[in-house]
Amino acid sequence: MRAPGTMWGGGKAMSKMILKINGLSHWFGSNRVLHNISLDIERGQIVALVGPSGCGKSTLLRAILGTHLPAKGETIIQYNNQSRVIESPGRDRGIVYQRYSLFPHLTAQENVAYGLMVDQTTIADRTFRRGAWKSLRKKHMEQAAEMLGRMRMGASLNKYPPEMSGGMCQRVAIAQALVVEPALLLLDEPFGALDEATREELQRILLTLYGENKSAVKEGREPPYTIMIVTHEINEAIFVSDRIIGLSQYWDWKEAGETQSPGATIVYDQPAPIFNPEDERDFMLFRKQKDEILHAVFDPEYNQSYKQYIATVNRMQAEEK
Amino acid sequence: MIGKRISKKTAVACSCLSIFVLLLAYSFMSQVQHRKNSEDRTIPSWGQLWDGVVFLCKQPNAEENDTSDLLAAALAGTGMESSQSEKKMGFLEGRIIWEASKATLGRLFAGLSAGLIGGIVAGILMGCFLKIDASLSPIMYFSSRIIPTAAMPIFFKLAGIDFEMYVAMITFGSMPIVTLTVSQYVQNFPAELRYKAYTLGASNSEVITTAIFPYVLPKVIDLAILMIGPALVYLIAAEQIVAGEGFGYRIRVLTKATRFEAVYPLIMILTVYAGAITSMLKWFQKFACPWYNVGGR
Repeated sequence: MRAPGTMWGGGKAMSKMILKINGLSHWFGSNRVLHNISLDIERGQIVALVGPSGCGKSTLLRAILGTHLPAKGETIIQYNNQSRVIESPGRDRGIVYQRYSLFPHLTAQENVAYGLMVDQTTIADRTFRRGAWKSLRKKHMEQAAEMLGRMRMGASLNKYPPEMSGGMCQRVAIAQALVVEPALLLLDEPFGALDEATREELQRILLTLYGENKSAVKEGREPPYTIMIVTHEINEAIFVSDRIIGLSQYWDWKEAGETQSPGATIVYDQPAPIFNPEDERDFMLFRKQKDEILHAVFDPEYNQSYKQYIATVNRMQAEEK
Repeated sequence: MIGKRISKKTAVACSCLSIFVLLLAYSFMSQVQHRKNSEDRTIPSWGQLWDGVVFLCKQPNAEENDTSDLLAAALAGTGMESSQSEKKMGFLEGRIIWEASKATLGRLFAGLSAGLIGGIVAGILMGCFLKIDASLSPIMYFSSRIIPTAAMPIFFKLAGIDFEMYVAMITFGSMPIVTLTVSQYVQNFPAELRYKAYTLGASNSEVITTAIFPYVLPKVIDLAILMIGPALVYLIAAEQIVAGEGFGYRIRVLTKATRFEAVYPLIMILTVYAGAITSMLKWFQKFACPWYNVGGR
């Protein structure tokens, strides 16, 4: 396990921004949910978003995904050397939900190959250029099989979702999202419905992906995976991520001049310790940070300055230098 | 306990028992009727029913006003009715049962296909695009409430009494219901899967053809099976009034001639056809949607 903020170790710092959120606020009628969220996510980070139930984590995730645009503010995604404001779901962001994670009419292999199919061909290609489509399809299925092998699902290629356990479905869903190489992978409480042992297995898969990021950096390449995981499990957040963001409606909004609660904002943004997939999951190792998060994010009585626990990207960059 | 599982043997035994009880009840009622009147054919005996089946399979087709039909009916059972069958015909070709089957099944297939295809396309568009849903919903809801059998005179006037009229009536009777039901299926398609398809690079048309349509297809096939009954109701009712051929027409003619020993088999054959179409659709569902029956469904 490495100390927080040392992912890049002796490698060259790769601080390219993947996602930039500027002044995002959202409300439903008179119910104010999110207030003035500003956030930058760098390539290669695994960011955990935690917060009390109902604080707006999923609302923020949906704003990033583009399915429910915010009432105010903008979200900018960087993909293929181009920046654009997010206005709808797109190829540059992948998503894994807690449920409805796979197309039920496709096998595991077909589910993973689905993205390659719709990304690289059109209906016209598949209808009128059957020969070319057939050989491309073979390549897609091979790629899908290889990706599933990395997720330790090689023996279940031909199974339909009802034939697979929840953990197996989530592995396939992660493979399905990653095979098309999105700029940012969003995980919306992906392990919430699973038992503890399966959760730990899948958490280690995320650590394996982080390990691949580290290897890429060492070799001078860009880290391939940037992930944001929404979770209500603080232990999980600390274990799998290298950065924890806490969203909470419990902050000193009166000190900020508001007359009523304007919604949740970011009250915690700190690096997290980095674990290797084979490391023991010893919760005592990060007890202090967990208490910090519980206090700053989940404690309704907490009324200190909400900026106390914000470690900005700039601070991480300063440490790297 | 509710839902307690039974073995296949027990299930088969229960089914056979209920059918046996039904047949026994029928035999009893037929016997009671024949004790009152030995020539009665309103609840035919098993022997009379067999004669009716033979009549349908051997009797050459004839129009209602063609006396050869009534003559044949009069000659039935006398051994003198074979003169018509001297014509060169296939095994069943040219017989009542063949011509009636061709007419009725042809109309049913054409009408139900048009209603299903139109309903599926309109339903998917309504389910996917709220503007189309807002535009078509009132019309579809209103149309689905119109009883096609009550509106038959309008169909006769506007579409005549030929093949097109039957197709139009079945289409009109089935399409609004199919449209509204398919639209509901599509709207129940999980939003998460829709968003996922977009994030994987799918266009709107790809979301519809590669995600939504396969998802709703098994339910659409179940819906098609349910629509067979109502379609036959409209069709047989119309055939009984204006047709020159078909099951409805034959039931009317044979009822007028009080040949119930042939009417019952006609109804049974029609039921067998409906059952066969259902079985074919179920088989197609298993073939086209192998995922639908996995996982203990």
